[in-house]
Amino acid sequence: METIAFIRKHIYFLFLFTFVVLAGCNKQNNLSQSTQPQGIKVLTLSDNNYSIELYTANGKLQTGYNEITLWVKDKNGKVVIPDSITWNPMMHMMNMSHSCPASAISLQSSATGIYAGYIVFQMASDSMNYWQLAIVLKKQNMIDTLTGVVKVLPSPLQVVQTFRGADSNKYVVAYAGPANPKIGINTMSAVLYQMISMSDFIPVHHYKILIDPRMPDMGNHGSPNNTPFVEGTDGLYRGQLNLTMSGFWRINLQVLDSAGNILAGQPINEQNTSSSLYFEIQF
Amino acid sequence: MNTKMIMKILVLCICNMCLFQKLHAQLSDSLPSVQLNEVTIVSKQSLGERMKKPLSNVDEYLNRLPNVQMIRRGAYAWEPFVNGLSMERSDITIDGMHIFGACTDKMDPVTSYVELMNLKKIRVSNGQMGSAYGPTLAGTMNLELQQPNFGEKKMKGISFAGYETNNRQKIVGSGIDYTSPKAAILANITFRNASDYHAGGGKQIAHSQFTKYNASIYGRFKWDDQHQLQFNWIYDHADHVGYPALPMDVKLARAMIFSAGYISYHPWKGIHQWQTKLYYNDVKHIMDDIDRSNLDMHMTMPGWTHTAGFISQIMHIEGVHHWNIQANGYFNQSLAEMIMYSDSSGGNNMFMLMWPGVNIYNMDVFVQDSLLLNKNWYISFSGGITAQHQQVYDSRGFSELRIFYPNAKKSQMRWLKRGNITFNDVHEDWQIALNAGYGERAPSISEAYGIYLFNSFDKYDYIGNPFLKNERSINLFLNAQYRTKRLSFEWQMGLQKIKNYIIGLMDTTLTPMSKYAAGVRVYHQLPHATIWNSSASANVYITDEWIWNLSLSFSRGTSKAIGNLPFQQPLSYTSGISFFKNGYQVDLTAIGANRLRYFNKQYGETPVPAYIILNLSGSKEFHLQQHRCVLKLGIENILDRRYTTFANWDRIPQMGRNIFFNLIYYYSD
Repeated sequence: METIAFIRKHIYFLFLFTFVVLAGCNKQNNLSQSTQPQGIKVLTLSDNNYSIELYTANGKLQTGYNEITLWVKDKNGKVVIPDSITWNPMMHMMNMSHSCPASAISLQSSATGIYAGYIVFQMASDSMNYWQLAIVLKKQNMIDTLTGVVKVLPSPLQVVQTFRGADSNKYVVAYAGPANPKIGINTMSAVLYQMISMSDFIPVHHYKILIDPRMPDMGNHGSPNNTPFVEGTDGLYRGQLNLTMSGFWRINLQVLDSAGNILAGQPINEQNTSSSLYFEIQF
Repeated sequence: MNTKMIMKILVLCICNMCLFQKLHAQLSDSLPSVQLNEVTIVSKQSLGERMKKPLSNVDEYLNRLPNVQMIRRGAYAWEPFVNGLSMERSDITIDGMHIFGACTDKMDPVTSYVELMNLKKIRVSNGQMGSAYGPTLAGTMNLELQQPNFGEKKMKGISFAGYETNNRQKIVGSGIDYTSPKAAILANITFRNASDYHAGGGKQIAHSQFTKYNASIYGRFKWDDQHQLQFNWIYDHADHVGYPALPMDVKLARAMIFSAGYISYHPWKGIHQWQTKLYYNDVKHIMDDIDRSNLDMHMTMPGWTHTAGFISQIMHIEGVHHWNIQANGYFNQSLAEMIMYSDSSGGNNMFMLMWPGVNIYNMDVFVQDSLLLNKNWYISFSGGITAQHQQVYDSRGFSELRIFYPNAKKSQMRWLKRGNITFNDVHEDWQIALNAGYGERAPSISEAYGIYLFNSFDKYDYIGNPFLKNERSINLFLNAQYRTKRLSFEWQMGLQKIKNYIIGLMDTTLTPMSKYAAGVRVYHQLPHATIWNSSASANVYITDEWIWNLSLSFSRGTSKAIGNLPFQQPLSYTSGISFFKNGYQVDLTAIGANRLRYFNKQYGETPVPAYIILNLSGSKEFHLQQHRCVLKLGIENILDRRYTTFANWDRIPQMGRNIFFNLIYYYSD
């Protein structure tokens, strides 16, 4: 009886275990290339051994949050799964350079060899300044670094903001979704990073983001029952965004630390029609 | 002040408010009720004979009823208030058919989708007394269609034309009536076109123009004395209708109304009549502000309603009992949108649903028994129950609604009960009727589901509330009439106690959407409201030629929570003297009201000063090659007084001096 109870209790783990084992076996086999990364190819990085293809939903990289899928191919064009893969975007300006917030690159499916992650570009490329993306692969103790210049277009709307909080720390907040807002109730997500140094950004935990969506063209009409954003298990901050109509919305933000102190942003009232911290959406 | 007094004395007179119903027990109808207000439009092929201006629109006909007040947002499509209550509190039907306006701002009441030539009469009964077709609190208004009659083979016709100087209104229309023993057809068309009207003193009221087309056809066929088929079609189209009291006008208001029915006489032993009708109607209403200047963005608000239903009725007479058993049901779908054309935000239009897409499935049964106790006493009992299922069918709309009500459900079921008892004591020269009723109603689509509906009267955006309870009313109506050869007198009184009275209450947590709104109100319910209204009228037949008439009416509504209810009529009067001789008729009428003393500032009301205006009209009946003609001429507001009434939205002034002529020509083969 006890055994049955044990199995019952842990059956999911058993399944997971089996899956992991099978997936591990699969690694040795040829990967199916029938499933492509979603979206449109935006960039290919290559060296003598590998090429890496990066995809985004619209085939562009823009300021703000960019969800990227990618895969790695060897010189025969076969999709491979390296032992480890990391990326490092760098902005090169005239006499300085800095990085930006980026997630780890995680394998979505070992069957297809497709990886996913996101990068938050705070600024766009221009004639003087450019973004360089370096991706480091490790396979069988061989390290390959593939680099390339990426073109980051300016987003037409404000979707990312860098600010100094009341605690004197520097932060980056970016709109992560929904990509296509709709009338009514939306689940909105954002990422929040602290800038430790020019090249070091770390996600912040247990903060809270208050939102107040408004329509500046409509006498700053707002919507009720929006919920503050709290951190999910995946590190994204999520909350309920209510949009009473389509059009142009400014989502005013206030960032609170884990103790509830307001670090940045102001509440909206008769006198103050906009927070210094906000996103814009248009649909 | 002196002039006012002199005028009042001068016009201590009477006019022709002929609301008296001759008491005649028709078997085909339920027993007569003395407590009925009605206005006859076409009788025996004569159009509005008793009206000083027969080619007035339907709204002006309705305005003659003492228990009906017409709330005016402009010169067109007035909203009928029955017994001091707004139109969602009465059951307004066309021959029992339900039809719903498609405007979220009540700019298209049912009464705006018909024309004089469509109608025989409009019956308005108080409380639940005549509630054969559905739930109501304040009363029932049934617009009875003009039917062709069977008879000797004959072709008759009518043509009419009218002109009014104040707003250059042109009215033309024509109808034919084919009669035969087995088939009868009535068809007609009417056209009206008016420019902006001018208030007293000459000020032009911008955006008060309108254009209306109406056509209808009614056919009846019988193959024997027992079985009859009938069908009816009405097409009504109004465009470029201005609403001076609102920030928007109406680009289009269009209704198509169909019905087909079957009547069987004595289908079974004891059953006097059984009739069944199927109907469908379709309303499209588009508001926009294209004609308004000084706007940074334009918007349009289209709305649609579709209603399909049936009515089935059995009349059964057994001894002293007169049974009327009726079942009716309908399915209604309503949706309204708003589109704003933005040029400041990247060209994306703004869009939202104002009515989130609502289906209503409504089933109703009604039973009435009228008992003839003796020569003088009638008692009538009636009761009805409605099952109404409301459902938000559009997922976008439901998502909008859930912004405000996270726990809102897609659908809900309501049971609405009503009951009534009427005592009639009828004598040769006097009669009394006492009517006690109980009724419930479901919130309207705007009240339950509306999203940011701007009310330009109190300047608030209104949000519906799907959690409203049914509104309930207990009411008592009394009617007394006295009539002799030289004098007739009638007095009516109504007392309504309403529970869960639905009204918008301010919600400071919400921000308005409309540019002109000062805040947001959400529909809530007051525990109690009371309405007391009364009217009296008298006709004195001084000689065979001279009739003097006086009528008075007022309404008073209160609720502890908010004080005075809005839109209550102050003491208003009409008094006139009429002279008849040799086919000539001359009427001098004074119409006035005391100042509006009981008003509610919170709901946009402002004081209204007392006023009195004078109208003079004359008519002559004559024959052109054996065809009867009626010519009516008149001057309204002779003194060109600038005035407004409690019923004028935003206190837009009423029409100034207006000279009109109406010519009606009847012909037959």
